[in-house]
Amino acid sequence: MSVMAQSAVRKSPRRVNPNRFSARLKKQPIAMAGLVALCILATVALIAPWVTPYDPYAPDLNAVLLPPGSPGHLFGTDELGRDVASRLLIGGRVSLIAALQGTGIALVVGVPLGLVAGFFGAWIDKVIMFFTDAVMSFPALLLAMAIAGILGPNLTNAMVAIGLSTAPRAIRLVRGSVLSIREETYIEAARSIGTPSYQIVFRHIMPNVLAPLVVFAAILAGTVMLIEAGLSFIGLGVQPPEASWGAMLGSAFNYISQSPWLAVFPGVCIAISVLALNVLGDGVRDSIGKKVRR
Amino acid sequence: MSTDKIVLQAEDLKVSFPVRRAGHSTTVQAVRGVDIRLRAGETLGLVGESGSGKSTLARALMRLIPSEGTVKFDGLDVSHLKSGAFRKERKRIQMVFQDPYSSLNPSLTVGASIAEPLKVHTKLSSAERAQRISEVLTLVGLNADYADRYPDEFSGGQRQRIAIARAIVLNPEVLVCDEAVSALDVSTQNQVINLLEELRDKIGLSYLFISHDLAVVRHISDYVAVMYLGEIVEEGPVDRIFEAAAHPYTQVLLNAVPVPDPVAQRATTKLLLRGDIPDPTNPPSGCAFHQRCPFAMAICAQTAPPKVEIPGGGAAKCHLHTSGPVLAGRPINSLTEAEITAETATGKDGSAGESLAAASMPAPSRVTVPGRPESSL
Repeated sequence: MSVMAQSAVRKSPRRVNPNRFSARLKKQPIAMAGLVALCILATVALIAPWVTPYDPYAPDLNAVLLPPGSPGHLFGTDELGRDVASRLLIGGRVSLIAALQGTGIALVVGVPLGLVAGFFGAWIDKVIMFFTDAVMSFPALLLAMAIAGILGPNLTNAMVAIGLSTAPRAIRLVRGSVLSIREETYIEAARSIGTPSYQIVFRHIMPNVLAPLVVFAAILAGTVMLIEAGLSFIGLGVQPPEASWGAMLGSAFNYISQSPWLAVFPGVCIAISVLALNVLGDGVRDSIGKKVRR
Repeated sequence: MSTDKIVLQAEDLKVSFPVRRAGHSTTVQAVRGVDIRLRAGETLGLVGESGSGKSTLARALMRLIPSEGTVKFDGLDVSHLKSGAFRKERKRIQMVFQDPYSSLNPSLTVGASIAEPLKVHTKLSSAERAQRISEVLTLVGLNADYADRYPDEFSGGQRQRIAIARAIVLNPEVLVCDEAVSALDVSTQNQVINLLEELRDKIGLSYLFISHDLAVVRHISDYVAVMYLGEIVEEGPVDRIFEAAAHPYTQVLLNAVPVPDPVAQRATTKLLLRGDIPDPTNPPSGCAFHQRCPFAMAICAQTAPPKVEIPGGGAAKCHLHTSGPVLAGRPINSLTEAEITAETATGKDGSAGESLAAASMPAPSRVTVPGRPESSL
């Protein structure tokens, strides 16, 4: 008896999806490329303040609109003579933080509301879904513009706006997953045991919602990055002299005929990041599958 | 074995669901005033065809769905307890579900699943929990090391043992088994049933055993209740029910069980059901069974039959025992052909016209075919 008890007490390493998820992800070269690109971007964003060759905010009126490849300025300079390479590095940091903020707000608002709506149903579901549908009937970008316009133009406000206007998608996704999981017998079993509702949500429902949520978050981050670029482009996001890829694109627009490269670099950066997020999201989705723990 | 202590009792239990049909909403009376009593150490078998309300009754007893009426756990009236107070009483009565593939959360280890009741209802330390988990795993005949594995590594029978382990880890008084062996193959069924009997002897469990498999019910039960359209139409000690059914519906159910010997099978009275179970949103007048009953009389369509004590134990709700009185407590299979023809002929009117004693005529074309238990019961 004591031997048996001991063997049960011994804590075995908790196996999480043994060699299934990561192995499947590794077999997808495009998704892996996206992952690598994101890792590089994240690293660059982290170390940006220490590696910029020039002060990204210091104007140099003796070196205005230099073309790429100019001595000392690999990617050239902008209309105020600021180093484009330095601004891209700093701007990437801002763009990535913005994407995290916007996605984070969307999830923080959307996940609990989706869980509540799906799990408790009845009138609370109706109320939440009414507002969700109302918000979803606006284009996210327009709504973000309106909110940013009301709160005043700066990056955090823009991200709050984007987060709130994309939260309905998270609500719908979470609610849908909860609705399907709620019918599983093990939820009924948990209720027959007497497990309190909040524990049922966290122990039995959340882990099953998590997988689609990760995919959703990756793709949403790409969308948020685009919307941030759009808002900054029209002047509702990052304010000068602050740099973000969208803001750089916005100011480059005025010089598009003289110095087209000014628009090319931030544009390419945005495209690569969004593409990386999307292919990674797709890869994660394909790697999760339904076979995991079933 | 059984004492007089009543561990689970329901009085006039009713369950109704709202349904929306073609725009207007009505209610389905899934359980229509059921009384049950389960004594300590006893197994109460609950039988009936699909849609008769067996599982709904179980869920109402467990308060997984709302119901009206009184439910008592061990004499304590729990039907008026608020959900928080009721939650504390849940440890007295636990449930084993039909499908062991969906009743265990695939993302939790076996140990974590069994630990859940302990976490909710006790203050045991994690070491004490692990100790208790290995105890119950051993008790249900599994290796104590299985606690670290995931449900998808086990067969259906093993999973059902795990589900039973989870249900008994708190030492409940009552285990509600809702078709607990129906999803298992026959050899595994035997093992699980033997396990349930073993547990009854070892830890003094009482069972509410719901099944459509009459052979299993006969084997495991002390007392049997037969449900039809949300009502208990007959109840009694297992031997009395199986040897001397007092309600035509019970007799029909028993006749639907195939006999292994083809000669004996052919010799059995062909008392078979016609038609399907009636629409529960619009139950038939009088006796709910009268449209399908081979012995239907005029009175059956008009008034609901009273509950009549049957000699040999239990009770039945059937006019055959009071009106006439033709049977007056005798079992159905003691009816002679002359009595059947006399009674159904005299008592016949338009509404009961299509029902005839199947015993006196060739089997009608729309009989349900015995052999597949779920469809024939």
